[in-house]
Amino acid sequence: MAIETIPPLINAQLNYLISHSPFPIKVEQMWSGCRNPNLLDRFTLAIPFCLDYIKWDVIYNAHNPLIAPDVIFGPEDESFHPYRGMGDESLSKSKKFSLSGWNYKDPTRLLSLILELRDLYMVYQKKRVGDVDDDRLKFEVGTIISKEGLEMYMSSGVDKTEEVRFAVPLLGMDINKIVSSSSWRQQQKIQLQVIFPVVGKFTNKPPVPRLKLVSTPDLRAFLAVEDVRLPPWSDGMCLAEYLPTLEELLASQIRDAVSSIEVRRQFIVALAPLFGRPLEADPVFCRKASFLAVSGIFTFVVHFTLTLQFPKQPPLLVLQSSQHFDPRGAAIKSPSFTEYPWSPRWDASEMAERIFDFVADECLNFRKICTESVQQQQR
Amino acid sequence: MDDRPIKEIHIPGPTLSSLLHRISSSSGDIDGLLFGTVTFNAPVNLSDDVSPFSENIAADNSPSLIATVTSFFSSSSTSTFYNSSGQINLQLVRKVVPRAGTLIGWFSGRRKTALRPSMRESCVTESLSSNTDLSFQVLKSPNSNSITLSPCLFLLLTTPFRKEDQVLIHTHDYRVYQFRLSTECFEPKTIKIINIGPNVGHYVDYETYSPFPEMLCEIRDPNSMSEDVKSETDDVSLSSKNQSQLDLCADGFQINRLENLTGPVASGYTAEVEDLYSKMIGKLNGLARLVEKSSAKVLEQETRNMKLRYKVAGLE
Repeated sequence: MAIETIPPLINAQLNYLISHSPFPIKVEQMWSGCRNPNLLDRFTLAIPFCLDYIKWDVIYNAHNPLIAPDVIFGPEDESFHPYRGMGDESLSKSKKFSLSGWNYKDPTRLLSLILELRDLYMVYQKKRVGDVDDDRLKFEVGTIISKEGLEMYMSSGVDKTEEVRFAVPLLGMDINKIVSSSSWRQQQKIQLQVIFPVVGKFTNKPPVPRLKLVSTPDLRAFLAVEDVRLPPWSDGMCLAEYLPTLEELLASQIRDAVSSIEVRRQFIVALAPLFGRPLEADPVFCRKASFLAVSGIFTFVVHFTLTLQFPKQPPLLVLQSSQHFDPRGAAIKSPSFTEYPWSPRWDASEMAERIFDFVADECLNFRKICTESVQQQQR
Repeated sequence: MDDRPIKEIHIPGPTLSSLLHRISSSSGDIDGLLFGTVTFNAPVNLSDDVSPFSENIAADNSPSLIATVTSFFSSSSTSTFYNSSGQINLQLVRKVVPRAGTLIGWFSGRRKTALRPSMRESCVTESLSSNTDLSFQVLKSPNSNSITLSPCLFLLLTTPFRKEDQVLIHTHDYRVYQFRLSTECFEPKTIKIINIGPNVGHYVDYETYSPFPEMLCEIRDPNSMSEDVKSETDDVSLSSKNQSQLDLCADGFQINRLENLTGPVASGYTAEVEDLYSKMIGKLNGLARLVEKSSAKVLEQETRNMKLRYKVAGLE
């Protein structure tokens, strides 16, 4: 079996797409369309859109790498024809059109094509949502349409219920700037997913939309939006009323999250006089720290994991021996400890002292366990 | 240009199979042009016609358009007659369409892809359909208003996605669409494969197209049909030229000698005719060898082209 290879020109464009895209695009699968099945020249891209993914097949021709790729859209998007109806003249006039004058040597081309198509897809979906015959939806769209970065999606199909999904960007603030020490490469966002079922004509009691907060994955180390309790949706409410309350709530949660970083930092700093300088510590969100500790001749590492609920929840402690190993050669670890004397009202230095005392006692036990397990192995 | 719906698309079995062979033997994706005819089918109400084929037509009494694919042109890759944004190159298309042929649409063959038109395919089809220079007359259209159509057919051929099926079994999926300018969408159409069988009623509508010259030669003795020769004086030069071509094949075997094959003297002549046939077969064999050699040369050139393309792609 020969090795499967991606032709270099295609690979260059694909790599550029993955590393330079403003949102994470995933390559779902790659396969070959040639008689010689070792040249991979087609792949499925999963492109984030409206808090979901749209899957498009990109079709290159390995035997003719000079030709621009073709795209096959999803089966539910048969009426999406991005470049249809544009005559030759209008195409050459608009310089934005990335397929005209395709340059196979330029690695940025595929990304700009996909971004351009995604923009056109957004226009297409907006038009579809606008064509829905539902008075309530028309009203809701009218109130939020001006929001920058708003995305919408009309879901329909034979076996699906008709519904309109919105991804409403929340908070005008730049979260990347608020968390000053962060090293996020992508812009962090919190969005509200709103799903309205299509009911048609105006009813007295319109159905309550399904609501869900969604954040970019990197944000989870800082704030768990899944745990934020959403304000209730009362009857006859509209999005324009709901959003300000929610944004206020979120803004206060973010303020709390920022201040809790500082609380965690102080705790880790307070550990240092007792345990010594940390071997390793998370400097951005202060969620993790590891210290080297010695008791007699027993040397071990103490790992601290701080949850977002710190100091309400005590840190998770794990001891790891640096002298005892299991049969597979990994250092022996203790189970994680959470049950030890703790009060969120103590100040940081007291917390550190109490934990130090607990570890000083517990390490004797742990040492015993380690020695026993090593002896068992030798038998 | 009219935008009438085509009822169904007919394609002779050998044409479809040679198209499928072309795709499965190509190294990558290919596309090309489809030639044929579109015929206006007036309702048939003949009560004494009992063949099952005519019954089918009689059941549906509304006049309809039937497209027949008679031949195709394909090159060894895609994007030969249009640019990267799917706009057709009219001059190139004109060059490829044979003088006696009618362009009725195009096809695209791509392996292991979904059986639905892609972005570029829909652009190319739109570009072909909306080009008034390529529109053609529908055959047998009613005298009062002649119908013109544009090359609006699109035949899509793919192979299934599953890997395990590809080794032992070859599966081909195909679907034909008519692009409607008025609605700007693809309408899937039924495709009917015409094979020679007991119901040769298909030949009523079927018109052959051959690139070779028709030989209007005399299958009669010029002396006995002297009046005919006089009346066809205009055709004399052409028919005598054709006759000389035919004589070349016949090797001096006179057509009137065929009469001797019947009756009591037949046994003596059979050997002679057999000898003539074996000579003809010999010539055909020689021709086949020539074709084989030139095909080998074409293949050699294609491999060379592929190597060059590989070099450009940096695959070496």
